[in-house]
Amino acid sequence: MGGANRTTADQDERYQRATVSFGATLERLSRAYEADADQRLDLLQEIHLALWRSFARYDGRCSERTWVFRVAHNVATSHVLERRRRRPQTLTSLDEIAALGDPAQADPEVEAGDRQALARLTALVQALAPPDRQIVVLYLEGLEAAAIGEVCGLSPGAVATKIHRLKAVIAQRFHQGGPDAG
Amino acid sequence: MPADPSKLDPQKLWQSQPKEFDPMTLAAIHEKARTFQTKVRRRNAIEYVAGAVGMLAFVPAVLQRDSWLMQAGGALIILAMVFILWQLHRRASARTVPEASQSLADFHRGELIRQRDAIRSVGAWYIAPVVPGMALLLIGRWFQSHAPGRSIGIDHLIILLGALIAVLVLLVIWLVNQRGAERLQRRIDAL
Repeated sequence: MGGANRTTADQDERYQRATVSFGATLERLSRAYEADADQRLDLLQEIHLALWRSFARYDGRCSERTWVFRVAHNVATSHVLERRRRRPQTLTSLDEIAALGDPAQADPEVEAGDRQALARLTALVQALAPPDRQIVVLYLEGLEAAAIGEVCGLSPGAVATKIHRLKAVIAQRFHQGGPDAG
Repeated sequence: MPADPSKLDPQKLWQSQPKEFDPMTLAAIHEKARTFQTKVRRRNAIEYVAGAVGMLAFVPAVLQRDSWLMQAGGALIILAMVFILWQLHRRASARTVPEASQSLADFHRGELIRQRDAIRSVGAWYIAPVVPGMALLLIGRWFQSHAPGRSIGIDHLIILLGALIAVLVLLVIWLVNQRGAERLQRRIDAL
């Protein structure tokens, strides 16, 4: 990889275009992978740096959106693997999490309403092992099963199965017990 | 919880998150890239200096005139350390930037396999290279060089103890890494 002195205008332009289109998405993605605010900012900056560097060798074989998601998730996955190496942490699959308790119990500090639902959803995502977390985050970002499959290297059918399970887990977590469940 | 949980739209909820950080400017990215390059160069320099200091420890063995076996052993260990440094550098530089052309499943599996292979093969690239030099050093010391003012029996006992400690250290390094490789294999199997 070249340093900043070997940048091209094309690389800068692609990066700037990507940050305009996906800036908020990348921030949400970093939230899915890191709960601590300081480390989240580090992770986000790491993702941006990797993205800018990656555009030096963007070959157009996939769309810029797929490229951005792959770089971002791969950096974030490395971050999770490195953190687990230093601080072992139990992560679960979508199948296992359905049988477990809610990772985010009611927090009196958190306001009622969507904010609490969002906190519970974020905790659910952060408790997932990387392969399932990638699919779930891409689904939450609104990607179709085929697009998720392209980013993740899975068949659309496998992605659809995972999304079906996710919806079931969410239904179980958020619908059972009504407004007092959280 | 929303007033009516059945109307909860997880996608809408997820995408409604407020922005937390200011966007990074291009100038900030360029600066971060320069800092990153400087860090990599500094890390490499520290590794090379540490390696050079380690090698210097074996220079007396090469320069002494009592035992040609010890000279050869010292030289082999210095060569082994050069090889190990090259391996560390090669393996560290392989993970600097995740490959964007890889799908997430391939990347995740690839990262785990890379880590597993690196520590599983530690015997081949970290332990084995130093064994011939160490063996020659000990043999040379046993047959061709003796500490002055010490009986042969005591001198041989000290050499044996030194050899035993070296073997134990290498064995522990190997065992710890094999355990780590088994843990990674279980995670690969679970994918």
